[in-house]
Amino acid sequence: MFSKKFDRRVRLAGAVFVFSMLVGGAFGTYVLWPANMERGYQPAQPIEFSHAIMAGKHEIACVYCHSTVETGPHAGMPSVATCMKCHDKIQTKDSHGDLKPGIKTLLRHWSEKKPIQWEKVHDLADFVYFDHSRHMAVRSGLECKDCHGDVEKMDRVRRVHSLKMGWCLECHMQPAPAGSPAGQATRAPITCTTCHR
Amino acid sequence: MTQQDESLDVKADANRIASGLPSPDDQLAAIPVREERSWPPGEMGRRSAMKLMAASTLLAVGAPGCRRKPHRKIVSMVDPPEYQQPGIPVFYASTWNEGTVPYGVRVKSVDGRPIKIEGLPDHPVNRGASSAQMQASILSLYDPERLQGPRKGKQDVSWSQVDHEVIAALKAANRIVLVTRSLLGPSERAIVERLLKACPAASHFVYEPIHDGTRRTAWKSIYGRDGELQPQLDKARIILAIGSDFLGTDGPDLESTRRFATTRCLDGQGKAVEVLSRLYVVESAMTVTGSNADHRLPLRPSAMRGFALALVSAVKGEFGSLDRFAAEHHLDKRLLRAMAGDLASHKGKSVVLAGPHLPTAVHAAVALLNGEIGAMGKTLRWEPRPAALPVSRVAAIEQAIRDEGGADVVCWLGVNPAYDWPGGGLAELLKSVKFTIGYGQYHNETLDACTFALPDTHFLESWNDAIGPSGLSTLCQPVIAPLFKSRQQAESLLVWSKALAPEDKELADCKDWHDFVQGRWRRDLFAADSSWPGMWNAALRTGMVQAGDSKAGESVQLDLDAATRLAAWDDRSTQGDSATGDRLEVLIRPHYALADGRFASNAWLQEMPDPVSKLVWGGGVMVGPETADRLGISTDSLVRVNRSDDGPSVVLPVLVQPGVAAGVLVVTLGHGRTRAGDVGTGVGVNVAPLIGKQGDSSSAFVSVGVSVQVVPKGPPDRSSRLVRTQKTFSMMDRPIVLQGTASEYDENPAFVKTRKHVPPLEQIDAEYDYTQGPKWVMAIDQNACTGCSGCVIACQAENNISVVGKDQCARGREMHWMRIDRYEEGSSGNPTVYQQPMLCQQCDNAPCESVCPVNATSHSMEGLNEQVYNRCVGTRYCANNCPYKVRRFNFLDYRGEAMRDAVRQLVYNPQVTVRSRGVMEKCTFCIQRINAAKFHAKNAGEKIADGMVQPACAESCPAQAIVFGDLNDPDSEVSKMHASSLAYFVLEELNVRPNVAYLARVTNPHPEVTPHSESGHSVSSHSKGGHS
Repeated sequence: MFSKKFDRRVRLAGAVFVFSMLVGGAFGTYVLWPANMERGYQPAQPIEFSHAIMAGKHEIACVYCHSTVETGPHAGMPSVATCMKCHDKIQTKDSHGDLKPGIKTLLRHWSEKKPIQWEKVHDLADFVYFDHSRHMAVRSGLECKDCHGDVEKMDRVRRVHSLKMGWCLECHMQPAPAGSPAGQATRAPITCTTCHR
Repeated sequence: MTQQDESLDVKADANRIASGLPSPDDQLAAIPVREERSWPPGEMGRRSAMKLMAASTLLAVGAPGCRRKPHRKIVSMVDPPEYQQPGIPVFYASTWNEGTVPYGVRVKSVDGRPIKIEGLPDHPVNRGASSAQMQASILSLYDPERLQGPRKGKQDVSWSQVDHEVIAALKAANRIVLVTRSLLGPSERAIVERLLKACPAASHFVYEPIHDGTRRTAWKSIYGRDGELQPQLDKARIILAIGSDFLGTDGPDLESTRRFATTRCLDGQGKAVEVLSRLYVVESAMTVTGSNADHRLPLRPSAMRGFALALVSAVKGEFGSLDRFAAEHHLDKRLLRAMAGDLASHKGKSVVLAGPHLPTAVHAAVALLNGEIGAMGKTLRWEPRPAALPVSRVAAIEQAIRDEGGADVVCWLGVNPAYDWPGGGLAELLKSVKFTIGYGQYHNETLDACTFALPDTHFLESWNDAIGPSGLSTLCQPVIAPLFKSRQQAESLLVWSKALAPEDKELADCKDWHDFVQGRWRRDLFAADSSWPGMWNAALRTGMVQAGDSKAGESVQLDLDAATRLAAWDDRSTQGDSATGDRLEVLIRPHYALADGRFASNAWLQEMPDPVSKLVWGGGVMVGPETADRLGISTDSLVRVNRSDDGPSVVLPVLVQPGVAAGVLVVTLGHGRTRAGDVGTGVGVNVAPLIGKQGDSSSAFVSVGVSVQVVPKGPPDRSSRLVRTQKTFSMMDRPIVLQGTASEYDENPAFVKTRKHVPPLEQIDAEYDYTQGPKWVMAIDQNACTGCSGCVIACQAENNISVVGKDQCARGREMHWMRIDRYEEGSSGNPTVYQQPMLCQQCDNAPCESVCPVNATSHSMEGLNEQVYNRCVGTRYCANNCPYKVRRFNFLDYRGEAMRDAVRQLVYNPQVTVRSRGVMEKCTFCIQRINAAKFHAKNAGEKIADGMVQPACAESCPAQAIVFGDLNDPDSEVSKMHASSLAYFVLEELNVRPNVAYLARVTNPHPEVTPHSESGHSVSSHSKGGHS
């Protein structure tokens, strides 16, 4: 009925269509997969605060600003007063001699006594009760970057891990390290109420 | 001050996410809007069908997955206080003074937001215990229905306008009447005195709807000075309560419960018969105290005087009148004689208490009794400086308002007489006054009728102080800045006094009320101390200071003549007394949760099951089964109760309550508020019209000669419908609460083992080894538990438990994780009562776990039965398979719109997920507290010490009946209790391996008297009448 050439073209088009559907589907699934949706989140912040300068170039320790990370459930966001400990003196200007926009915003918040509303990058579901202090304990052997990535290289903080339960369990379910108390089978507890209550 | 650090603390949307339900907005969007035209519009062609299919596929598949969670903010403070850490609670010591006794509280504040109230461990009165009302007051703090600003009529006004007009009115007035509550702190008393000094036209009255006026008056004339007798029950072996509900509504219930519980503790030392106290209760209503009695005698209020007088002579060795009394009232003669014999033979170790509703004659007779048995100084302590002021006579207040042209200004400060004025009818009186000021936290009936309705602050927003025992002064400090435009009552009095007395230098120096309190403390308490403000700071930290009190240790002498004379005075209410007569008496009592109605706006307290009747959201008139038969009424009948033939009357639903004395109608004040917000308005019936006006010696709370008419039942209405959370009070002969007598215990301390048959139980699975870590278990001492229900509300506050409302309660859908089961045995006229706190038993062979299709409930390595809300899909198989019926299901979105209010949701404990519709929930032994302690201990490299983890119920319990801890620690209190010979497990025969051990109840009846020997109907025949 059809010429051989036409038939070949139709078959080719069909193959291309099926192939592109498969690739597109796979790509779409990958992109829309919840864990991947969470990864790479990088919102703009009210102040273009650069961790690359602060933590990278100036090597300010994470705990200087996130001061309750070793003692409480929350790492703690620095108060405006914490920023002002340095920026009371360090107020860089641009080429026109004006204060840099970030500094300007900070000084405005300080003078108006208004808190800064940061965009939350590492946000967990409300039914997850994560405790920073437990993960910063010496025996856990964890560092900030194990979950937050190389923040000291980021100008704008990006979420590098999904922070989904499966990702948590990758660590928690590792075999218990040597020297763990008897009866402890996994590196960290995997009981539901460890995180959910 | 309260900017939220890290918004993740507020688990605002947790329940939505937990259940996987779409957000409220999505839900709304999903509901098709009902429009006139039908969908799909017009004729649907192939193309539109395709479009529709494509769109719905996209929505169904794409929408939920493709959306990132709502973006949220982290808001850090500008300049935070140095001690505050996000998510780490800070505790403040303060004083709760909203009830009738001031108690020390420890307020837990997270991120500047108070979320939980506990008792202050060092406070000598409550020693860390807390009542339901204390616990629930946190809900009122975040209640936007509180009056939010000053109002004149229906208009919002500013405080400066209020001050301007009030001061002008006070200056111009010829007579000012100031009416306050009786519980005033010393600083409040001082400011009232200043105001009285500044305005000579003013007079001060103290008003309480429910009070101990007759008792205080009697004591004053018997002991020669004003003061209070405080029972030291821990020193008593024989306790006789004549109408006194000392474990419930009479006096410092938390202290009394603690002291009483220590006398009911069996620790294996000595013989039980000699160690345990014996509690005799002679009462008209069925109360918490009566429920815990070893011997209980129902007796009408008018017979109490005769009984007490007969007992006085019997204790002296003259039994004639007691025998006569027993014969006249058909009481067991042997029991009365045993009672008198016990009192006489335990001199210095026994005590007699009389209820505040009884006339002065009874209190005088009881004073004679206490004198005879040497109670003074031993089991009774004289407190020369009571925390509460003596109440004024209602007639005196009326007279001051009405007489000689009437008062020009009347200030109702913290009272609500428009609701609870004895006999009702205050409205007329109020109308005659031109200028009235009403002060209160809520817009109530009185504030409605006043010229100015002024909002008072919550006690967590206030500076204040209170009087403790033996010269103790306690401090009340604010934990949060006022949420609304309210101003503390005392602050206003200060502002007005300053304006009225500009020459008063001391007042002028006080910038605000805080200055006044601080100044008074410095002057009166720290005068000799040079370390100011060190002492003040110490008081802020500990909540109290023990200052030298000149009156402390003062003792009083019984004036025998005065007491005898007073006891002989036969008032109107006892005339023509006849035990068999048809005459009815009405007894008005405060409500266990709502007190005199002041807490009616609190939904937690409205939904707290009454410890005795298990009624929620409303009350009725309680009558004994005999009286009900005689009157031809049954539960849910409607009756009209007339105080006198032409007097006021109220229509009430009937509740047949076993144990109420024959011929007595018991009503509770607290319901029937007409202006108590969405929660309290129109719930139940107001019985204030039945209260009499207190005379010199007669009581306002007992009326004799009332009549009752049965009212035909109309259509069911909300206010008079009775809803109970428990309807069957029989154990059906099953071994639920095990009990024995002291002599049985002495014969065989392990008598419990003979009480029920537990077949040898086998285990199919391999045994799990729980010995590697802690094994969390609980033990409940049923000897200590009085059934007060404080733990029910403590649990509700800690675990974000929803309120479901009256209709849902009627369907058995209440959400309390902890409940107090009540069982009645024996005759219905006078049943023996058993009470049992029931909560998740954390079974090791949990039947709920094996039926969950999604593993939402599972067992932890520490022996906990975990419930994971975000995993639950709501099949309810677990609840059906639970033999204890302790799992609660969110049939509806009980949180509702109301609790999504920006202010209301601040009450939620940020450490506990807020559940939503379709999710099962239950007790977790306060896993958030276990985790907090565990994390803390692990970080510090320590072990969790015994007592470091306290679930909310155990922490609040005044009797310390609930003990929690690690079973693997042989020295922990809980493992000792598990090893006790009295320990047993409820329904252990089902092989579910529960982890809550109950200590069997050991009663201590008089060896020669069989308890409750009088014949009567059996309980079951009547409790069935209560099934509705």
